[in-house]
Amino acid sequence: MIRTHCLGAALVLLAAGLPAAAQHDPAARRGSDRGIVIGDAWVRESTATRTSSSGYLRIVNRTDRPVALVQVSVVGAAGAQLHAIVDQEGRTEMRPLSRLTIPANASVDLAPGGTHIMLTDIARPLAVGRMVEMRLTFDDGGTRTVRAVVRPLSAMSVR
Amino acid sequence: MTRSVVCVALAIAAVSGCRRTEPAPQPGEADRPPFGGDFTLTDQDNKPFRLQDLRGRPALLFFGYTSCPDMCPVTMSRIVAALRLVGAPARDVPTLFVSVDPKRDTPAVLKEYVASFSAPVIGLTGTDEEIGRVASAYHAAYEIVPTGTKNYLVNHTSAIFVIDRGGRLYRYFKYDEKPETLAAALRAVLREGP
Repeated sequence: MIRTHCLGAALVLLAAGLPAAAQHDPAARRGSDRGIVIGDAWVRESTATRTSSSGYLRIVNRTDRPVALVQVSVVGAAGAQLHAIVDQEGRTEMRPLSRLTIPANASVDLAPGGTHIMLTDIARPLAVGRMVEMRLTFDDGGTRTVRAVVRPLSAMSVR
Repeated sequence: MTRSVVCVALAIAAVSGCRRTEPAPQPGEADRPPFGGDFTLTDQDNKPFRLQDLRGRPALLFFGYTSCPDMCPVTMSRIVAALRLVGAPARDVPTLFVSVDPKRDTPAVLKEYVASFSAPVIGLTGTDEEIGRVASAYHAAYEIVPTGTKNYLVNHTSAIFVIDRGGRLYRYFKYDEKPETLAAALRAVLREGP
């Protein structure tokens, strides 16, 4: 599910890149730029025979305007697409999303069981512990590049 | 692009009503879902598997596929959490992972997949017809969804089925059911005799 949060004091500090706060969250610090903070990025492991995976992260928008994520690419994966999970009365469907809006001064989580980034045709298996580069493009033309850690198939969070 | 749809309407109607927010009470005979039952498929060791082979052990069952990027690992995580809540009595309760993607999910692929989880999982596959029969018996639905690439998705019923010691369906829950609720159902079937 997409979880939208009001921007609290802790996130304001994080987004502002203040050393005391940011140093405790390297993932968030890496993606911070121009008011958009990307944090907690991770992907599930893949194998030679199972070449699909999924990616998750948190996007914090500390600007006064909404911003939309419109494209994702991941190094080593031929396909990367935003997907929403839709429950059709017991049958689960994944539906591509053309954009994901992050409201002004709010954050959105891409999390297991909800909206996520689907990765397909991964050429080199994503081994647990590896880092992969994830590039996000927003509707204002801005891009962010973050490093996502590879977690086990059974993982439910970045840690 | 074509879509192959396997038994849809009844499955959706049946599974939609299964969400519960509190631990499930033990149902009487009349409360058990009147479907499910024995089946034969092929396991991850390329050997025939019949539900009866469990010989008095309860089991969990869900339909999925190893290329499922999100839902199936999430479902397994819920199941593992429930098994941990039950503890030692659930040690021998297997999860039956019935593939709805037999084209890609060979026994070898399933073997690698089921080893990824810290719980006993039996990966099951078969011919399209065999899997279709099991899905039909459990009122489950699935459909292949082309993506325009060599990859494809499979939309599928996401319920977790709890099967008692006699191989009968006891209850079914949504994939994101609280582990506590699943655990309560597991405890109930573990208390029952064969």
